[in-house]
Amino acid sequence: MGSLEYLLSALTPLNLLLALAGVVAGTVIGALPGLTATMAVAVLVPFTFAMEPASALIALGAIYTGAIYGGAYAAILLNTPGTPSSIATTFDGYPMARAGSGDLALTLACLSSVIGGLVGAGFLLVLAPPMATVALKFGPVEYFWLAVFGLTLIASLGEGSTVKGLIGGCLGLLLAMVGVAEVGGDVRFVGDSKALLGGIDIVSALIGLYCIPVLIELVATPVAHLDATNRVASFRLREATSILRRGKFNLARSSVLGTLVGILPGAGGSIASLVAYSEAKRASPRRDNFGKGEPDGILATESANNATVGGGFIPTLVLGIPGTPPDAIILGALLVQGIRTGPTLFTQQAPIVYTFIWGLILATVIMLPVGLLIGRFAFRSIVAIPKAVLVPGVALLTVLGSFAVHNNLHEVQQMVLLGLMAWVLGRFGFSASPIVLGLILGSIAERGFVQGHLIGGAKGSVWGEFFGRPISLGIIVFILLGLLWPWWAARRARGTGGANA
Amino acid sequence: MALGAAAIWAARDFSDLGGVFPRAVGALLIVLGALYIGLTLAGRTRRVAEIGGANLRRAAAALTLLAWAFTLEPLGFLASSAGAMAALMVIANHERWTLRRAVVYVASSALVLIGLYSLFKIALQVPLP
Repeated sequence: MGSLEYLLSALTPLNLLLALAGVVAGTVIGALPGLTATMAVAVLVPFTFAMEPASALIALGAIYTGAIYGGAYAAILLNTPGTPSSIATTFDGYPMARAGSGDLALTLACLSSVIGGLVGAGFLLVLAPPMATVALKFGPVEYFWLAVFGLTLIASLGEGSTVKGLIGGCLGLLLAMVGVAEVGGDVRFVGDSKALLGGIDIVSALIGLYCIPVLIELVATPVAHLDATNRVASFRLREATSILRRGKFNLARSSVLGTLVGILPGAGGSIASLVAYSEAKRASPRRDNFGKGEPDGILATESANNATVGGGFIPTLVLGIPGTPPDAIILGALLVQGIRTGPTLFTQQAPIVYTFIWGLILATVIMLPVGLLIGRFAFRSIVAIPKAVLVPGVALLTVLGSFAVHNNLHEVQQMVLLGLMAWVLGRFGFSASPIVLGLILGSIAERGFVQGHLIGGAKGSVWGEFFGRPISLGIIVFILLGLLWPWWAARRARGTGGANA
Repeated sequence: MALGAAAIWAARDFSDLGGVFPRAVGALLIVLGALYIGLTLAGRTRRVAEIGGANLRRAAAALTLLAWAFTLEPLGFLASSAGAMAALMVIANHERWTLRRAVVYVASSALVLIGLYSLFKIALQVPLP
């Protein structure tokens, strides 16, 4: 399995240097709003073509894990997610920064990312082939129910108004239907615009929905966006480790959730962090603090999104099916290296695979000191930059980021228009998160529903297809628990309050 | 509610499979919209807090971003970005303009613009307009 010789292979000076360089490069790129982890991997992958396969994989894994973590900087310090995976980190990270605890938030993000990354890599090391087999059992219907489960989280993301959250989610679902339908080929909601035939690009939409409203609000007031008096940032490690100890179950649950979501092809860090956040809020005795600067929120999101790194490699390496978008890029790099993915990869090319996995674990550990140092530098820099320089710079990154996805100017225009829409909706109390969730999950839900309907029809029992599969039934139970639990918990709390009166 | 009705109306031209979701989401929007209106009339919704700040600056920033997105092609990336960044710099600055401040801000933004342009256009071969 992962014997000492593979660990020693990963510990060569070259591999350690690649891990360090990859983590630093990935973290810096991921920290820039508008640039995603996928871009970080795509941009740096050509440098790996001349490397040995194991070294190339270590470099790419390090870039990926650094980029996912790096997204937390902009999320915490600027209230704009650096990568889609750090959307949920803005919920509590920025309020903590506004309250003067930005340095603590950054330290928590770093520690949680390392722990989540190690859990994901651990699953990859120990359980890759059997877990990939389970992932294969997920058919269209399972994906449909998983998307429905994700959509039920909208209720908990509505920031005080469930109805507004659900309206926002439906808006996101409508946006997801723009363009050519995947099944059936209908051209929907495009009017006379050829630019919309390709649909709404999710990355551009995410950048616009989160970054544009923040930029508009930044220019409106003369008050600095963060308190500049606390310029001497410290690591606050003792405080952070105390919070981690208190939130150990949250960390464990979120890391496992992130790994499991990462295993499912097409899911990704954004869904993993939102799911983990929602579950952490549901289970927490301090759930009323979530969204106002609750450290447990950061623990949940950052551990989950970094756990998807290891989780996403499981279907990528075992089945040749990319677990997350960056994995698709890495899969291409593997093909260039002449590595055939599949179950036999773990037996016939064990030295390459296990050296890589140990390298990923080492890169994740290296991320701890690197992340803390870069975080301190980022904190001091962002606080010191005047708004008149910060706003144009961030705006430039959003334009570049949305253009560079597909080299398409229309996506820049979509980004700005959706961002302005989000700002207007925000004035009426509609937050961007339900819209984003609807947009991401809408296509997954519809594709799963339509394909499940077709398969069930061919088998002669549509109801049996949707309600007769064991994994689907398990997910339905979770959906019902998720919907009924808040009502039951509130009823129990009222009953306890009445008894104590 | 209007959006939901529009979605259902548009879906009448779709195939059966292509129209299921638009009709379902449209119906849901109508129900949720009616529910929200009912809750508001019953006084059971929370009023959104007023926010301070200069609406003129917000509007100017919004218009600048829109103009930026739609002038990238006719003016080219560098020209449109330089203009938009200059405009945003003026809109975002609430302090008194001095020569030193102007020089520092313009130089910093120019450095960022040229640096990122070089990185994307030259190093990464992204075909910026």
